[in-house]
Amino acid sequence: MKTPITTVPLKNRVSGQFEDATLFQGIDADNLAHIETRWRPLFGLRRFEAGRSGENLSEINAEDAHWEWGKKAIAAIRDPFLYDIFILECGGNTQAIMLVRKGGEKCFSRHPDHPRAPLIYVDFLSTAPWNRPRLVKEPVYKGCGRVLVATAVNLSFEEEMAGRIGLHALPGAETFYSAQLGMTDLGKDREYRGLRYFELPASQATTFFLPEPKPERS
Amino acid sequence: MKLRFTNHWLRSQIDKDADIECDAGIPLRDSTSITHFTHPEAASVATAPGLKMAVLSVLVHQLRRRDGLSVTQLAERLRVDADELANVESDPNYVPRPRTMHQLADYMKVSTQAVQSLTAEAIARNNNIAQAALKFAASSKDLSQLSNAERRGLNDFVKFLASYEEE
Repeated sequence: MKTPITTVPLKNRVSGQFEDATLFQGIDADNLAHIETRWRPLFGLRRFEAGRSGENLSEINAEDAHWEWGKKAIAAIRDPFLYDIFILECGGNTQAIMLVRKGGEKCFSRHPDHPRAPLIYVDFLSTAPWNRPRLVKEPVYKGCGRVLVATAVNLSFEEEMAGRIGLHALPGAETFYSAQLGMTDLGKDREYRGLRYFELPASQATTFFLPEPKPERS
Repeated sequence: MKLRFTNHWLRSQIDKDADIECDAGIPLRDSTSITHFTHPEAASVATAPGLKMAVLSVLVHQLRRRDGLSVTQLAERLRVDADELANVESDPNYVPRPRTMHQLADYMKVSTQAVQSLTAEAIARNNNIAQAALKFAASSKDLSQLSNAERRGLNDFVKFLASYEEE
């Protein structure tokens, strides 16, 4: 079941204008079809082009081998009630998807401020291939990450987790989580394909929605 | 869900954010791993044969078998790159170049629009195409020469494509 939450702005990089997008909780057949018929062929095309031009697939986050690992991990989820999925739609298309966990082993803080405190863990935050600056030359919508992370922080407050969230950033996105969102970089996680693990601690979450977030505490 | 942020805040943050990637966690490449987060009916629609089947791949393969041509030979006749044609035939999700679709259409004497209608996305949108394509793909067996039934299936499908514009 998919329920609209609100209308949010996304910036169209081509026109330079903000457009209205809809933030949904839940996913439906249209979203699955968009991923299958619009996202997937573009990934395939881009992989083919990259292979021809000698580009490194890992640098554009287009490796299939990398994906197989995660595919099994998501498919193995046994209790969908511990999860929430959020969708961003704009222009009749699925622009981004986020899957979060509200409980379980990954939902304990590793931050020195509050070890083992409960948090919302972002299993994945995926933007459509046409919105990715490293994948396409002229990406379309900007702001998907900001909207979805804000939604995760919001959910964390709703679930009485003080705004704490955790996630593993994909290569190329680390700066977004550290410099742009002020999350704490807790280093490479050897048990998670070496991806860097980031947390938004409660101290940062309290100021997250203020116009000027305070810089990360050293 | 009561929201703690406003659209004004979002606009100001998005404007300030650097133009960089934001993807996190498990990379999402297709829908198969997340279908169980939907209603069962939704999952069945998204994974229906109409969306997954390799209609264009099967069609090109069948044409080659009907005319006794290798990939290279058909590519030469179409005046397209052999690698491109091989990709069309081997990868159901491959999106052919517009020129390739145009040349294929010429070869089959159908409209380019009809060939374009065989891409996965177009099939998903058009139930008539989906049904005809499903029937065609299901009738295909991978033998060296076309059986009479396969030849009939191929001819019927090409006829269907030829009439595509009239729908």
